Amino acid sequence: MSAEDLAKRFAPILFLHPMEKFVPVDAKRFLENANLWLDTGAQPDSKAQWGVAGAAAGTRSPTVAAGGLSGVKTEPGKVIDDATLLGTLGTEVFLELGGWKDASETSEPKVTATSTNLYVDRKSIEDMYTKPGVLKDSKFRYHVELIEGAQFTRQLGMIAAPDMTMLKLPDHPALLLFYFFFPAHQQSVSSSICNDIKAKEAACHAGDWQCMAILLQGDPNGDARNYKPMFVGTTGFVAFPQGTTSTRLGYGFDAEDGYPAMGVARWRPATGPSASLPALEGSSDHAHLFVALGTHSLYTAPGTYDVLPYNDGPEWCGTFDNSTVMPEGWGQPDNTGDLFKGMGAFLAKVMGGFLAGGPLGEIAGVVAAAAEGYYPKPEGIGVVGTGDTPDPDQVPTAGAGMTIRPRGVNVAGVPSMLQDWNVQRNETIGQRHYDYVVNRDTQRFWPNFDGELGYQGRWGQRVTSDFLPRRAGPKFPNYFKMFMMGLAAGDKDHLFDKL
Amino acid sequence: MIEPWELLLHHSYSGTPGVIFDDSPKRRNHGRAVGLNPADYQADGLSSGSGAIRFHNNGMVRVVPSEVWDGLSVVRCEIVCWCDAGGGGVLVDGGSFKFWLLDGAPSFQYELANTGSGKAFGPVSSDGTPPVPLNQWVTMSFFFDGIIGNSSYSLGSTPLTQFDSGQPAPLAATNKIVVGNGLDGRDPFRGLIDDIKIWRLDPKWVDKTFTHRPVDPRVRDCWDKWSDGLGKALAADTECAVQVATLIRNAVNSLIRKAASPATKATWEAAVETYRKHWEGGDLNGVADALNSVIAAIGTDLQLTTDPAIVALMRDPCVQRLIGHVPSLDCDPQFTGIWAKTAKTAEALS
Repeated sequence: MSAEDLAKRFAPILFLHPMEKFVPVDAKRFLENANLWLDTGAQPDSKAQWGVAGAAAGTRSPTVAAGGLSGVKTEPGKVIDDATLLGTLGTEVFLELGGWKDASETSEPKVTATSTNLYVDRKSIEDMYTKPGVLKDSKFRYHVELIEGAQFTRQLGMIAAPDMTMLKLPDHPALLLFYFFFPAHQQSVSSSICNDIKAKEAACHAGDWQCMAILLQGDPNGDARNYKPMFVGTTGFVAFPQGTTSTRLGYGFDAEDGYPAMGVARWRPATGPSASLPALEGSSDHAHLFVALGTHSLYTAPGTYDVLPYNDGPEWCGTFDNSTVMPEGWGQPDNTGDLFKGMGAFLAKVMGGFLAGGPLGEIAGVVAAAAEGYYPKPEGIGVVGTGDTPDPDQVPTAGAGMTIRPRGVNVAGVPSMLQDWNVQRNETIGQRHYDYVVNRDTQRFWPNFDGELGYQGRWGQRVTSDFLPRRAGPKFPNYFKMFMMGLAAGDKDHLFDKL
Repeated sequence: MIEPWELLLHHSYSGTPGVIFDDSPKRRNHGRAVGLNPADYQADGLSSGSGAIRFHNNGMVRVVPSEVWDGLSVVRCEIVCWCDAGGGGVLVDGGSFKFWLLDGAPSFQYELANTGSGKAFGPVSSDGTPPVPLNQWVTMSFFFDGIIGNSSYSLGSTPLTQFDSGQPAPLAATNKIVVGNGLDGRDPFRGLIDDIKIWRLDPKWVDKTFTHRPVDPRVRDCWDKWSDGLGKALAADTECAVQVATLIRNAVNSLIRKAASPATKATWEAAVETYRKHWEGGDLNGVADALNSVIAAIGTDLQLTTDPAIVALMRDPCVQRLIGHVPSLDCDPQFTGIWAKTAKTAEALS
């Protein structure tokens, strides 16, 4: 079965927010126009080891300048997974488009001795996709991949735990994955009470992958018409329609920080909170997906959604990325057994006590630290949330903003701001080729399933002061695993009928 | 009050048999069934649909954590289970901790990071009645406290008994956990397990509490600069940094142990509650008052000026050396005001 045939049948209709600045674009075109930086530092968010040393002291230049990369071996430029680019074990690679900005939001296109490189310059990225050229022409694209047969079985077996082979999956299971790459992601925290750049930029980054996955019961004869959708997964965060707290989705998380998630539900169940979702266009199988403003989380219904807080922090309007006043590198990130983990409050009180009251103040500091460190017994804990809360996802109604649809599909009730998906097979521009159907053997910008070959780097620049990281471009997630984890989570919670 | 416990593992054994899903927030401790048959999975456990596993022979749920469980200073485990007649076998074995039943009596074994070890045995009734009821669903829990140096069992919410290990130390690091059997598969739990949860004291809990104080932008900026300066100071003298962190942790743990003694516990816990209420409300004058009260009331019992761990911290020059390189906290006068007020009270002790 070809992914193309199934994509024609299942390609979704995306409803964007009227304020949305970014749309799904071709990932290969993004990388061809991006700088590539090797990051060899022990602290990847320190600019000192990004790329190569420039002529002037403190300047750094990209390892491969924009235009010098290729996503396919036979095309001009250095192929993106070339072994010579990867350096030693632990080296990180990231793509950078549009440069950085400082805390006053002044553009910093380069890395210099005095540049801060604190945040991604999203305005610059937006401009690059607005002015006429190859990037503008690469808008309204998705990539599609079909995983079935032996590949499906192999992928399932690669999940060490839980034992996914025990799941009662549909006959001839096939996972159809639509990948959407937005050039940038905007996510702020506690905007209702915070009014500074740290809160605004708390989780903003370049490069933003989203995915819709459909688990199909396959057809051994390979007829696309006979593939039957059984479950659907959409990416974003764990979220609840405002005013509710119950979930209807099983969630699988991205490995990197356990926060981005894929929510899985049965395909259009007859009853329950997911009844008849996702909505389809007319009698087709084109699902309606509603794209949250800035975060691009994919929802099957419009509205305002409260997003689950991060696992740890940020705190004080983004002043600290997690819940501690400890500086980066001391007990952070979450390496276990570290002497300095959780030490911030103790140091503050003991040192503060000494400063204000000498050795006797230090004693008072120890008493205060002990009071803070004296844990209650497990019974009767009254939990109060802490940390900044991510701003709610604003999910538009159909037609409020741009609508992206499969070519030739009429979207009922949406007369304007319509845009066709601009996807083609074997498109040639100069010496470069583009294809929206994923082929991980020839298209080297996808990570191989073995986790070693293919491009394993970040789709967006690193920034400084971001050890977690929350403002660096993401790596391409393992959506197959996220979907299966979401399926298992929903099964455990009896959210689906029996599998 | 910030949640002090971090849930590391939660298996509920519901859903498709054999798919052992970890429902803890980080989901890093999924399980694999070993030596279990489809018939060993029950759809219903304590409640309808809650799922349960019957263990026998070499059957077990093996967990290979995605990271080593290290620094387990305080550990808590809760298990919903059904003990068959005889009431025996291992409920959970984490290498550095093992919780099992013998004739219906709970037992706990631990290996400490400092190479110490010990066993704690629960009560055995003289009339032959097992302390843990057999042939019914029960919720059992154990609690290991490596800071105070004791462990305890509970049945439901009723404490069964408490043991003093006399060796305050965290558990040894572990990287394997087995539920329903011993690590070697030779001591199966005889019965069903419906649900198991394992928590540790969240290492970041104290810091989370610290930042759970309402502050204005000026104070946020103050602490941001202080944190940057602290980072530079620690990096410039790592030896001192380690020394100070070690001494502070020792002093705080020593104080907590003393405060938990019967003579001071009630006064201390009341003061802590007042302290937290004022801290989280942003009333730092109230915090100072709470500290003054507790220092005045039980400061002598707590040996604030003579405790060897506190004295070692006070005499060590490293704190002063680091302070010399850290920005002042004068930009948070409420915070510095605490120490000016409480130092005077501490002075009276000396």
